Amino acid sequence: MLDVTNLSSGYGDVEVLHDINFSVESEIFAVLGANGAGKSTLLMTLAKLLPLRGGSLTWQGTDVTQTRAYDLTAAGIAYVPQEHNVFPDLSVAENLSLGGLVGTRPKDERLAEVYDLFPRLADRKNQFAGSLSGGEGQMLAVGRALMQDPKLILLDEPSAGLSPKFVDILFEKIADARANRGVSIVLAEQNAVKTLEVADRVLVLSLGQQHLLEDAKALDRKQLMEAYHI
Amino acid sequence: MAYLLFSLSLLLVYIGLAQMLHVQFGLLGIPNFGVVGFWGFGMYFVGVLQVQLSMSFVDAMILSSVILAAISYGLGHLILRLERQAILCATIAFSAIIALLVVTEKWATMGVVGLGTIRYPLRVFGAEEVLHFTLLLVFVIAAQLYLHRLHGSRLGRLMIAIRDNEELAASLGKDTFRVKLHAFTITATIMGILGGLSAALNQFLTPNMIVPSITFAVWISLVLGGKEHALGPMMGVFVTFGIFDIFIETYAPVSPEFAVLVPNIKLFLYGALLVAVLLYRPSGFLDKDTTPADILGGILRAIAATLGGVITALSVTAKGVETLAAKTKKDDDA
Repeated sequence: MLDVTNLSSGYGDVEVLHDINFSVESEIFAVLGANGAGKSTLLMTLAKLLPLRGGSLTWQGTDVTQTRAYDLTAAGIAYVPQEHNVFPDLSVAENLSLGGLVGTRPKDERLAEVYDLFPRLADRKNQFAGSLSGGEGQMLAVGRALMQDPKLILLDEPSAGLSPKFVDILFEKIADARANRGVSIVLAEQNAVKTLEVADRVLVLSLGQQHLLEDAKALDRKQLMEAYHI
Repeated sequence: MAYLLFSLSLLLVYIGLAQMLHVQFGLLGIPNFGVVGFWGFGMYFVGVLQVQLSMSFVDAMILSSVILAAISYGLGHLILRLERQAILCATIAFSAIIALLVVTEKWATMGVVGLGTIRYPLRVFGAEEVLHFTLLLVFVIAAQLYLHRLHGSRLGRLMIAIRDNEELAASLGKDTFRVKLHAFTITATIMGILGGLSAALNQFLTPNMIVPSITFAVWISLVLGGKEHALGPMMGVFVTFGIFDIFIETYAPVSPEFAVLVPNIKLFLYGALLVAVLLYRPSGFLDKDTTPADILGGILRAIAATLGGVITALSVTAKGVETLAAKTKKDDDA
């Protein structure tokens, strides 16, 4: 589905990610690592919001190394950043409707599905997104990504700053989206315990290097602690 | 009457400019500080084509608009990927270049001597001014109707999304730069068309018409009225230009000995209003979620407050006059 070959990326003169290789199939693919490991940089690069410094990206057999972010979205990859992931001056319904700018299925049908998955968003559909709580904001961001009818969602630390109750709900919804809608998910997280509950495979990053690529069930706790420098 | 018509036509030009700035800054977050440059380009280009080349108003307007659209498109390509501060500086520089060219290119613009006479586009003997006012009115109403439609449309929401977070908007599957570039080109060109209509309104053009204070006046109107509301530009221009420049400066009932103070009093009130709005209502008179019912309620409250103020002032004055009359009578009796 998505093949990443020898990827390197960074900001300005600083290279953050070095020589990353993996492929994502129909699964929940987790990216774990400590603060500064390069998880968000990796997802931004996959979403083409950061240019690749080296290597290549292939999406469903097509080389998308030079493709622009908006074309990648239209091709079926949705991106949910960690912060500032909603449009605060638009209502919940308007935020969701912007997700419907791509895709072919009727927008109302997709909207009904998202409201079905996140009933709390339906209750707040006329509220400005800027006035939502952190958890509701994350739900809205995931909901907007689902409105794009994606084949793959790049989800950057959705649990950051959320209460344990919201983290549970959110991970339940992520598993639900995977199971019932067949969407593949690349999930960057610090919360290793919750992530390993839902993930199929795990890429562990350490200081911008690929430390480990393993099945979630087979992941050795000791190796994970090494990557986190614990 | 003719002066009032001229003032009201100028008010409509200001509303039009503020409407375009509303799209650029209020919806898309493009800080165009060169409003006077685009307006001035249209005004002088139409004037030069008419006076120096005897071109008809319509032909001059079409040629001017095509050239300004090409310039705006090129300028947009250069600056719209930059940080907001850089866009602000670049647009100021653009307006400064236009102002400079108007002075230096005397062979076309007549420099500081001035350029005239520019004819009205609709020439019916005795009714030119009324027809020109009507033309501007139709223009502004059409733009206002389009703004309301834009606010409720998918494109309008995408514009707000680009303003709020362009990086996130880029992941919505649309080319955000193209949206910005097209909107900038169209609105900047319309600023030029308003300039062309202003050329006919002014009839005689001088370089001191292209001054930064016009840009500031349009910006202040937008900020006061509410940059995120479709009616914000209109409301802002009514309050600033309408009340301060037309009503207070021209029609305020001030006795002749105090008339000389009116411009200073106007500036004082203008500044006080601006400070008060920025302090207590930073998003302007009309917030992004202000409804028509809120606007109507606000207008009624403002009328009630004004009437209350006038009645109080009259009663205090009447009481003062009575007291003075009684004192005078007492003094006379004594």
